[in-house]
Amino acid sequence: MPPLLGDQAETTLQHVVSLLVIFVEAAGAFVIVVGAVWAFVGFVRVLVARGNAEMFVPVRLLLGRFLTLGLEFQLASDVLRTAVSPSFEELGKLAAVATIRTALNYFLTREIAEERRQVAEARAAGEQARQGTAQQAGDTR
Amino acid sequence: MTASLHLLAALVALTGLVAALSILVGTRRVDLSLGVFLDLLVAAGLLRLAAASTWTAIIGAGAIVLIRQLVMWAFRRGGRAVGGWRSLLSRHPWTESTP
Repeated sequence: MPPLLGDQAETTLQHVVSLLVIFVEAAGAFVIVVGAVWAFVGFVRVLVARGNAEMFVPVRLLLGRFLTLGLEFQLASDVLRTAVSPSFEELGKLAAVATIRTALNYFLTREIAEERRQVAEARAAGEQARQGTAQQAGDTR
Repeated sequence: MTASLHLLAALVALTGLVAALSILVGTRRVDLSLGVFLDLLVAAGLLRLAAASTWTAIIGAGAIVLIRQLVMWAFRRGGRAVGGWRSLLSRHPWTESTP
Protein backbone atom coordinates (compact mmCIF):
# COMPACT_ATOMS: atom_id res chain seq x y z
CA MET A 1 0.00 0.00 0.00
CA PRO A 2 1.54 3.37 -0.94
CA PRO A 3 2.27 5.81 1.90
CA LEU A 4 -0.38 8.46 2.58
CA LEU A 5 2.19 11.25 2.67
CA GLY A 6 5.45 11.68 0.82
CA ASP A 7 8.73 11.62 2.77
CA GLN A 8 9.10 15.40 2.62
CA ALA A 9 5.56 15.99 3.85
CA GLU A 10 6.06 13.52 6.70
CA THR A 11 9.32 15.23 7.73
CA THR A 12 7.61 18.63 7.65
CA LEU A 13 4.74 17.27 9.75
CA GLN A 14 7.23 15.86 12.27
CA HIS A 15 8.97 19.24 12.51
CA VAL A 16 5.66 21.06 13.00
CA VAL A 17 4.56 18.59 15.68
CA SER A 18 7.96 18.85 17.41
CA LEU A 19 7.61 22.66 17.52
CA LEU A 20 4.08 22.32 18.90
CA VAL A 21 5.35 19.90 21.57
CA ILE A 22 8.02 22.42 22.63
CA PHE A 23 5.48 25.24 22.74
CA VAL A 24 2.89 23.28 24.73
CA GLU A 25 5.52 21.86 27.12
CA ALA A 26 6.88 25.39 27.69
CA ALA A 27 3.35 26.66 28.40
CA GLY A 28 2.89 23.90 30.99
CA ALA A 29 6.24 24.69 32.62
CA PHE A 30 5.40 28.42 32.66
CA VAL A 31 2.09 27.77 34.43
CA ILE A 32 3.80 25.56 37.04
CA VAL A 33 6.52 28.16 37.72
CA VAL A 34 3.96 30.97 38.02
CA GLY A 35 1.93 28.82 40.43
CA ALA A 36 4.99 28.04 42.58
CA VAL A 37 6.00 31.72 42.77
CA TRP A 38 2.43 32.87 43.50
CA ALA A 39 2.06 30.21 46.21
CA PHE A 40 5.40 31.18 47.81
CA VAL A 41 4.34 34.85 47.94
CA GLY A 42 0.99 33.77 49.41
CA PHE A 43 2.69 31.66 52.12
CA VAL A 44 5.00 34.54 53.05
CA ARG A 45 2.05 36.95 53.29
CA VAL A 46 0.15 34.59 55.60
CA LEU A 47 3.28 34.08 57.74
CA VAL A 48 3.97 37.81 57.98
CA ALA A 49 0.32 38.44 58.92
CA ARG A 50 0.75 35.68 61.60
CA GLY A 51 -2.28 33.90 60.19
CA ASN A 52 -3.51 30.60 61.56
CA ALA A 53 -3.09 27.23 59.82
CA GLU A 54 -6.47 27.51 58.07
CA MET A 55 -5.28 30.60 56.17
CA PHE A 56 -2.72 28.46 54.34
CA VAL A 57 -5.47 26.29 52.83
CA PRO A 58 -6.58 28.76 50.09
CA VAL A 59 -2.91 29.23 49.08
CA ARG A 60 -2.38 25.47 48.80
CA LEU A 61 -5.64 25.19 46.83
CA LEU A 62 -4.33 27.85 44.45
CA LEU A 63 -1.05 25.98 43.99
CA GLY A 64 -3.00 22.78 43.35
CA ARG A 65 -5.07 24.52 40.65
CA PHE A 66 -1.93 25.86 38.96
CA LEU A 67 -0.32 22.38 39.04
CA THR A 68 -3.50 20.86 37.59
CA LEU A 69 -3.54 23.40 34.75
CA GLY A 70 0.18 22.88 34.06
CA LEU A 71 -0.43 19.14 34.00
CA GLU A 72 -3.18 19.55 31.39
CA PHE A 73 -0.65 21.27 29.08
CA GLN A 74 1.97 18.62 29.74
CA LEU A 75 -0.51 15.80 29.06
CA ALA A 76 -1.38 17.50 25.77
CA SER A 77 2.33 17.56 24.85
CA ASP A 78 2.56 13.85 25.74
CA VAL A 79 -0.31 13.10 23.36
CA LEU A 80 1.36 15.17 20.60
CA ARG A 81 4.66 13.35 21.17
CA THR A 82 3.02 10.00 20.38
CA ALA A 83 2.64 11.31 16.82
CA VAL A 84 6.43 11.55 16.39
CA SER A 85 7.76 8.82 18.70
CA PRO A 86 9.76 6.42 16.56
CA SER A 87 10.81 3.70 19.04
CA PHE A 88 9.20 1.45 21.64
CA GLU A 89 11.46 2.94 24.33
CA GLU A 90 10.14 6.42 23.54
CA LEU A 91 6.59 5.11 23.64
CA GLY A 92 7.30 3.37 26.95
CA LYS A 93 8.65 6.62 28.43
CA LEU A 94 5.62 8.52 27.17
CA ALA A 95 3.27 5.94 28.70
CA ALA A 96 5.06 6.18 32.07
CA VAL A 97 5.05 10.00 32.03
CA ALA A 98 1.39 10.17 30.97
CA THR A 99 0.46 7.71 33.77
CA ILE A 100 2.26 9.79 36.42
CA ARG A 101 0.73 13.02 35.19
CA THR A 102 -2.78 11.56 34.94
CA ALA A 103 -2.56 10.05 38.43
CA LEU A 104 -1.31 13.34 39.90
CA ASN A 105 -4.04 15.25 38.10
CA TYR A 106 -6.65 12.87 39.57
CA PHE A 107 -5.29 13.21 43.13
CA LEU A 108 -4.98 17.02 42.93
CA THR A 109 -8.52 17.41 41.53
CA ARG A 110 -9.89 15.22 44.30
CA GLU A 111 -8.00 17.17 46.99
CA ILE A 112 -9.15 20.52 45.61
CA ALA A 113 -12.78 19.33 45.55
CA GLU A 114 -12.48 18.00 49.12
CA GLU A 115 -10.90 21.24 50.42
CA ARG A 116 -13.60 23.32 48.67
CA ARG A 117 -16.31 21.16 50.26
CA GLN A 118 -14.75 21.59 53.71
CA VAL A 119 -14.37 25.36 53.26
CA ALA A 120 -18.02 25.62 52.11
CA GLU A 121 -19.19 23.54 55.10
CA ALA A 122 -17.17 25.66 57.52
CA ARG A 123 -18.57 28.83 55.97
CA ALA A 124 -22.15 27.48 56.18
CA ALA A 125 -21.62 26.46 59.82
CA GLY A 126 -20.25 29.93 60.60
CA GLU A 127 -23.25 31.57 58.92
CA GLN A 128 -25.66 29.38 60.88
CA ALA A 129 -23.89 30.18 64.14
CA ARG A 130 -24.03 33.93 63.36
CA GLN A 131 -27.74 33.72 62.50
CA GLY A 132 -28.43 31.74 65.66
CA THR A 133 -26.62 34.34 67.77
CA ALA A 134 -28.50 37.21 66.09
CA GLN A 135 -31.83 35.42 66.62
CA GLN A 136 -31.06 34.83 70.30
CA ALA A 137 -30.11 38.49 70.74
CA GLY A 138 -33.42 39.48 69.11
CA ASP A 139 -35.42 37.09 71.32
CA THR A 140 -33.93 38.38 74.57
CA ARG A 141 -34.85 42.03 73.84
CA MET B 1 15.48 25.45 27.33
CA THR B 2 16.52 22.21 29.05
CA ALA B 3 19.14 23.96 31.20
CA SER B 4 16.66 26.73 32.11
CA LEU B 5 14.04 24.17 33.17
CA HIS B 6 16.60 22.30 35.30
CA LEU B 7 17.55 25.59 36.98
CA LEU B 8 13.90 26.50 37.53
CA ALA B 9 13.25 23.04 39.00
CA ALA B 10 16.13 23.51 41.45
CA LEU B 11 14.86 27.00 42.39
CA VAL B 12 11.31 25.71 42.97
CA ALA B 13 12.63 22.89 45.17
CA LEU B 14 14.70 25.40 47.17
CA THR B 15 11.65 27.67 47.44
CA GLY B 16 9.69 24.73 48.80
CA LEU B 17 12.33 24.04 51.44
CA VAL B 18 12.45 27.69 52.54
CA ALA B 19 8.64 27.93 52.64
CA ALA B 20 8.33 24.67 54.61
CA LEU B 21 10.93 25.69 57.19
CA SER B 22 9.33 29.13 57.58
CA ILE B 23 5.88 27.59 58.04
CA LEU B 24 7.24 25.06 60.53
CA VAL B 25 8.88 27.80 62.60
CA GLY B 26 5.83 30.08 62.31
CA THR B 27 3.04 27.59 62.97
CA ARG B 28 4.85 24.54 64.50
CA ARG B 29 2.61 22.39 62.29
CA VAL B 30 4.61 19.53 60.78
CA ASP B 31 1.73 18.36 58.58
CA LEU B 32 1.25 21.80 57.07
CA SER B 33 4.95 22.46 56.40
CA LEU B 34 5.52 18.96 55.02
CA GLY B 35 2.45 19.29 52.77
CA VAL B 36 3.74 22.59 51.36
CA PHE B 37 7.24 21.14 50.88
CA LEU B 38 5.92 18.10 49.03
CA ASP B 39 3.60 20.20 46.83
CA LEU B 40 6.51 22.36 45.67
CA LEU B 41 8.75 19.28 45.27
CA VAL B 42 6.10 17.83 42.95
CA ALA B 43 6.15 21.08 40.97
CA ALA B 44 9.96 20.80 40.72
CA GLY B 45 9.67 17.16 39.64
CA LEU B 46 7.22 18.09 36.88
CA LEU B 47 9.57 20.80 35.63
CA ARG B 48 12.46 18.33 35.58
CA LEU B 49 10.26 15.93 33.62
CA ALA B 50 9.46 18.68 31.12
CA ALA B 51 13.20 19.37 30.74
CA ALA B 52 14.14 15.82 29.82
CA SER B 53 12.12 12.62 29.81
CA THR B 54 14.93 10.35 31.00
CA TRP B 55 14.12 7.25 33.03
CA THR B 56 15.78 8.87 36.07
CA ALA B 57 13.52 11.92 35.83
CA ILE B 58 10.45 9.71 35.29
CA ILE B 59 11.23 7.48 38.28
CA GLY B 60 12.05 10.55 40.40
CA ALA B 61 8.76 12.26 39.53
CA GLY B 62 6.81 9.05 40.16
CA ALA B 63 8.53 8.53 43.50
CA ILE B 64 7.80 12.07 44.73
CA VAL B 65 4.14 11.79 43.69
CA LEU B 66 3.85 8.44 45.50
CA ILE B 67 5.58 9.78 48.64
CA ARG B 68 3.32 12.85 48.63
CA GLN B 69 0.19 10.70 48.46
CA LEU B 70 1.44 8.37 51.21
CA VAL B 71 2.30 11.28 53.51
CA MET B 72 -1.07 13.01 52.85
CA TRP B 73 -2.88 9.74 53.54
CA ALA B 74 -0.85 9.20 56.74
CA PHE B 75 -1.65 12.71 57.99
CA ARG B 76 -5.35 12.28 57.18
CA ARG B 77 -5.37 9.15 59.31
CA GLY B 78 -3.01 10.75 61.82
CA GLY B 79 -5.83 12.25 63.91
CA ARG B 80 -6.97 8.76 64.86
CA ALA B 81 -3.48 7.22 64.97
CA VAL B 82 -1.84 9.91 67.13
CA GLY B 83 -4.62 9.66 69.71
CA GLY B 84 -4.14 5.88 69.74
CA TRP B 85 -0.35 6.10 70.09
CA ARG B 86 -0.56 8.72 72.84
CA SER B 87 -3.02 6.62 74.82
CA LEU B 88 -0.79 3.58 74.31
CA LEU B 89 2.27 5.48 75.50
CA SER B 90 0.48 6.81 78.55
CA ARG B 91 -0.30 3.24 79.61
CA HIS B 92 3.26 1.96 78.97
CA PRO B 93 5.19 1.15 82.23
CA TRP B 94 8.23 3.15 81.02
CA THR B 95 6.19 6.32 80.57
CA GLU B 96 3.90 6.06 83.56
CA SER B 97 5.01 8.44 86.29
CA THR B 98 6.08 6.84 89.51
CA PRO B 99 4.07 7.85 92.62
